[in-house]
Amino acid sequence: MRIGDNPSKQGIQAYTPQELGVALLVYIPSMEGYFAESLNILKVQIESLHKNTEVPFDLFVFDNGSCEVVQNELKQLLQDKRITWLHLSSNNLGKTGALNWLLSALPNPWICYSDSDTFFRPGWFSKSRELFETFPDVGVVSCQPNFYDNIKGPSLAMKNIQEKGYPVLMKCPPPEIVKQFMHVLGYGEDVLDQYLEKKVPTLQDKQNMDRAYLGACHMQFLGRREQLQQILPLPSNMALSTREDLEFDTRIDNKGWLRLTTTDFNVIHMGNHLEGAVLKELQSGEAISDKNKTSASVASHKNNLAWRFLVACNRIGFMKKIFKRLYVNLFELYSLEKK
Amino acid sequence: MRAGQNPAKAVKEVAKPQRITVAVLNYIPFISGYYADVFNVLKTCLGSIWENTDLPYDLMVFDNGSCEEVKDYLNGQVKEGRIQYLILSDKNLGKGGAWNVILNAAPGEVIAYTDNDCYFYPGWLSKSMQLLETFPNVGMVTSRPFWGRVEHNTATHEWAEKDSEAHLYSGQFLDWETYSSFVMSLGVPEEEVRSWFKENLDYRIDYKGLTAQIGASHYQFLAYKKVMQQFLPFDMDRPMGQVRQLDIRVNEAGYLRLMTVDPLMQNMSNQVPDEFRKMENVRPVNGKRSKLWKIPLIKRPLMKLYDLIFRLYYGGSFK
Repeated sequence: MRIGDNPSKQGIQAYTPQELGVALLVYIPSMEGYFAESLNILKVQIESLHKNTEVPFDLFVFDNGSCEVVQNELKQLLQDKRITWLHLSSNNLGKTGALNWLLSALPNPWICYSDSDTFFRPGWFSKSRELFETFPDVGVVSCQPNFYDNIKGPSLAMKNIQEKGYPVLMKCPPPEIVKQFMHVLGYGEDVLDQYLEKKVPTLQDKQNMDRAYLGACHMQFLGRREQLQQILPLPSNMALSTREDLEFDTRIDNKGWLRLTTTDFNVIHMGNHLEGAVLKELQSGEAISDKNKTSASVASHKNNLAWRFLVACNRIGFMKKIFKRLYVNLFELYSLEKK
Repeated sequence: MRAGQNPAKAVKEVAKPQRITVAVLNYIPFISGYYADVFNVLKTCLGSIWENTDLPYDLMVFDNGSCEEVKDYLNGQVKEGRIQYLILSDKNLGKGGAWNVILNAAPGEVIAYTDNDCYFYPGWLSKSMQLLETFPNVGMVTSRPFWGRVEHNTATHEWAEKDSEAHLYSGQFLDWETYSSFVMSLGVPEEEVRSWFKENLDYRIDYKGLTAQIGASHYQFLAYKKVMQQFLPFDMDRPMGQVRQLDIRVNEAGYLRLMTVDPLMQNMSNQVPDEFRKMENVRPVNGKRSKLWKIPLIKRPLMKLYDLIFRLYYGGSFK
């Protein structure tokens, strides 16, 4: 039975969420293989958010079934007040399943979604907000140019915005933007010319200034909560699926809302490996601590006996197939909990 | 940059949430004073859910800014597979703020919400679900009968009076034990409870072979998520004390508010009653795969092999 009075009933103020909520989706099932550097990359990301976000924000981290090391690190970040809300899941709900969850649950009027491998540069939020203020009917804005729109051909939102007097021109982005785009995606110099000639639908303001490219990306975007909730729930059967991503785009477009990107890189996709110019920028900036600069070093492997044996076996066709199957099976065995 | 292929892309299917999400709201800021025994109350509450829930479900716990010891315990339950979804909040959002998150985010079609001080008896979920699924236009079902404010139940009375299949009747149906065990658990003195009991009038409805008592509580209820979402967001600026908004909104929207006629749960408040203290025999919600694979001697070389294969195929850029 109840003994005494609950002190929470004495009129203490509850926390009021900030205007901006940043939602990070984390899935690092192991500290090996593809995910060897992922935890360090996530820490760099969280640090960049705190360093380079111009307004107070709440950080919601949705852990989609990561390994214990990662969950413990996230708990520590919560304790250190670098994270406002931490969601720990014993199952992997897939990216779209988690997105359904996040876009429903976040109480903030503005929601920024991001995968767990994005570096946020100074000014990312204000530059994204600017596009919402410049154009009508904006649904989502990504902070880095996207050269491929998932929706092929003229979208509904594109027709609408043209009817409202905003020009959409097919233009080649500046070469330095193209080079950055290729670099973050790991494309080689051999296809540079092809990309330099690629024309991208470019949205201009009423003063005919290039302000945005059409077609947001799924790794990071900003949107209004009230709008994003209108497209839920999204179908969610796969861990990662381009088909499910397309459904997100289609539903936004069916509402007549624009999916835009900024014309410059206000975020950087770090992927699962830091190297080259991206690593250099991160190391030269103040956004990451010395601790993370050290840990953001290049992974290496030893040229040992086991490795040489594997390389030799891999030359045999059926062994190659077995290895690939093993790779996925071991991932499933140790990284995914299936009901 | 991205090096190699993310193995998650090869996964064909992911875990599907159960139809019912049991959601527990927890807040234990320290383990002393008023909260001295509340940690044990929470453990007993969760234990009763694990032990006595008779339908498939996912368990979600929203922790509204508890102390480290409690968070560590909850985190441990996630690792054991007993909690499917755990939300740890650095700040206390209040009950309304937590509801805004829970009632939006629970992945199930049906939400079985409870405060952290509720003990559930065997069969509570299936019997409550029967009412939810049999009666029309149900807003909330609470898993025990008790006294409640009549003004929060006007929509239920109106429906029962009009519907030809529903039989509405009243009387003193609750025995002293059922009535007093709940009211006295709230800290009301026995004398006062006895005077209330004398004047108590219960309203019941028979419908399609089932009987429900009229009334429900924001303290513990089952509801369809789509129904609850109509009442969001709750604007509550204090951690507690403004929660009747839910009872009022559900009634005003014309939804039924029902209770089971049997006591299928009991309020523990901030002390575990002696009868519930033996809750050690709890079982995990979901069966897990063989633990053989988790033996370090087996796991380590297999993980090493996994790492080598990754590097073999995708490690070209790793120098």
